[in-house]
Amino acid sequence: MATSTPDKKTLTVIITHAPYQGTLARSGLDAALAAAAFDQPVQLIFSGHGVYNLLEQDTETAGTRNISKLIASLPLYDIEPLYIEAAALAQLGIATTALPAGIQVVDEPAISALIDRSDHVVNF
Amino acid sequence: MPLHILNAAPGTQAITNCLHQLSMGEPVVLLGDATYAAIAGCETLHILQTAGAQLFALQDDAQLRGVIDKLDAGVSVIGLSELVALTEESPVQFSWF
Repeated sequence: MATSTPDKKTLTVIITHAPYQGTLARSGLDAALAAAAFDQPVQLIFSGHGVYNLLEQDTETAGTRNISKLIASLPLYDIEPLYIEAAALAQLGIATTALPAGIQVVDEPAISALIDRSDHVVNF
Repeated sequence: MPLHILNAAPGTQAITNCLHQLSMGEPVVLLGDATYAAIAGCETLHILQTAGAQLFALQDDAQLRGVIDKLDAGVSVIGLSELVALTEESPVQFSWF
């Protein structure tokens, strides 16, 4: 059950898409930032292909906005820790050493618990 | 020998479809989100290698996604000119996406 007050609603954003092929991952981050800008508590979960957003990217040649740098700025908006699905890391061969600081690797029951204490859940 | 051009994230149906057509020793170019499959330890990489694919990954796409320093030793990094050269060698080409 969500621990909400009339002016605070916990939003959980689940990102399941990789960056750069399409705009879904970017839109999810924008949604999280928009809620945080209105002082709403945000839980951000990277699941499935979404964990690829956490790799340190190099947009020098491509000339697009760097998603990993946007993610590095999330603690400034009180969006922390970032929750990462453990099973996805194992399946996709990503070592936790390749991930930035301030993340929390979580299993499926922990993700369910995060969702249980949310007022709203959105998927990207 | 057919050339396979793969542009889909690991674990997706496009990769399964590619595997159905893939024979031992055939070249497979990973581009776009498929470059994630070149990460050492990725389950999809293991499946492609077991199928006998000769693997290439496009430099620019791997670099953008931050996988260039995590590539498996069995994957050759190529640029666009080498991709063009590969397409010239293969009269039959499959695009999987």
